[in-house]
Amino acid sequence: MKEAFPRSVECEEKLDLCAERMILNWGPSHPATHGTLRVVLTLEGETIVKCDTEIGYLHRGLEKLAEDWTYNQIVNISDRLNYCSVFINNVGWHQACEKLFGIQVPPRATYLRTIMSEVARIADHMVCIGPNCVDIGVLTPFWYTWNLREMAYDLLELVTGARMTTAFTRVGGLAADAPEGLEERITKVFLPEVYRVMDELDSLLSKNRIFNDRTRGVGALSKEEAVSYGWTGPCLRACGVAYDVRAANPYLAYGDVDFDIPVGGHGDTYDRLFVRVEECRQSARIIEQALSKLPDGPVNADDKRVVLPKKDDVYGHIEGLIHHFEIVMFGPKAPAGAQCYDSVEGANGELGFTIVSNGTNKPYRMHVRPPCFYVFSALPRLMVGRLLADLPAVVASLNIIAGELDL
Amino acid sequence: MNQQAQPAIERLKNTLGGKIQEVYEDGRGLVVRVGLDSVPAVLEALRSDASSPFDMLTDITAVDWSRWTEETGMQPQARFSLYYNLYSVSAAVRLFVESWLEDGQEAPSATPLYASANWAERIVFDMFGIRFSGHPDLRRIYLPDDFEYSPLRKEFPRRGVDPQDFPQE
Repeated sequence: MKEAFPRSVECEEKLDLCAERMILNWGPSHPATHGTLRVVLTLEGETIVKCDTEIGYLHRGLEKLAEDWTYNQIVNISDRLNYCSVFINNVGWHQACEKLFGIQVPPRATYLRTIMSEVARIADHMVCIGPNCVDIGVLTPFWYTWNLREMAYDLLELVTGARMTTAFTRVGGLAADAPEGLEERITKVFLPEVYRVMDELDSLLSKNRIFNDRTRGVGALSKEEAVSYGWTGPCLRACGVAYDVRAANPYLAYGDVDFDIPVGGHGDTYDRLFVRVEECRQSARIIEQALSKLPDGPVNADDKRVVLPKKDDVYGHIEGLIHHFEIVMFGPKAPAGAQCYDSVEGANGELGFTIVSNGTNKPYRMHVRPPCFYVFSALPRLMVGRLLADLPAVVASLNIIAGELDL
Repeated sequence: MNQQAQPAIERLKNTLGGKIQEVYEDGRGLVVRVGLDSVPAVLEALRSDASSPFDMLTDITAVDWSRWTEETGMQPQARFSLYYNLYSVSAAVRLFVESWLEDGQEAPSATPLYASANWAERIVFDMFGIRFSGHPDLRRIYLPDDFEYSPLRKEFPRRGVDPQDFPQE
């Protein structure tokens, strides 16, 4: 039979999809990137043969900014790192400052920092798991996770007054004590919901055929490679390496509480998600134990160099007033020539701060070690040879937060 | 944590003793200062250490010391210093390797040893203009390719450069 519209030979060649490579741009502003990052893919059919990444769309020069801000102001810079678990960043920054100043934080502040860090971690993991499921076509878990995230943010709002940019820590302690009724609200409302949602996620996802097909073996990385790429946090633990800053170098109250480090076996998308689910259960355990041990007392160190004086002093004595203004206007001064590095377990991994002090109220150099940055650097390694449809699943499971990717 | 790194440093001194300029301790932990050329050899020796292999290069960062004398009265050893933040996952030990270099000097790349060095060195190149010899893909990472400045150098103004200074399309 004669074709109605005979095709030329050239046209036939073009229709053979595998013969011609296609360049596909993904991002920087695409719903499934969950942030501003760009991936340029070279496709052969639907298979990725080359994957180039471009970042920097959210680069704000935070390290340069920090050189002009005081130690207490920089907590606002830490707010803009991983904006899904801000409290951990706040703690990380001021913990490094306290190491630099040589200040011991009172136990109540330590425990409150621990509790709120874990609440923030649960919120962050929910932000990772929920949208990741949506990206691969499983919509239901999103509503459970988002509800729990909302409850976590309500708690953060109750304590700090802000939902996202909490800026709650200060050099030597916290901006304020916890409000009345926090303990009851956590134990009676929040924690039961955490356990319930984790069980729901287990039952919704672990035996779901489509979810398993889309995540098992997708974006897998070996132990050795993950360590070489500088992976930390849930992504590294999913590869089977039990490295957790909370256990390896117990800071805050993590040495006093009992918790397990969940590890995966395959390092794929499935493991990364379920390591996070299990971590939320462990976070809930930590919160329970820390609440039961929560000591009374002040939330700020008794150190005149860094902490605001009592209000009676400020209103009643000229020295107190001067002292108050000294701290508010100029901020505490670090010892000259001191350098320090301290890290916390952020929701995505090891969040480290390096400070070099020149003896003034501002750091000479501040450097952040962002966990996302190193996790994202392995994306081409994960994606080459995989299908295009795997890309959103893998990027979401790595939990790339652009605020942390670009400083 | 600091004492744990001591045996690894002793072993390093036995094998590469001549290359180690100084070992000191500060708020970061134990820091090993080495010459710029011996950085790869020292990193490789530490990575294959017998009881605490430093298999993770957590971070690389640089400091520009050009305003240090003016601000503190202390004398830096050179214009820049590079810090390699090494961690042994199995032994839970952290160690810093420090190396000093002048403006225009090229540092040897650690990318053949650690995959994480690739992007870490690109940041240092982007922010300080320090070049790494042997790096497979030394491009700017955050800033546009036609940006002429190294923003974390102290002479770069904190409020940024005048937009008129940018090359016009």
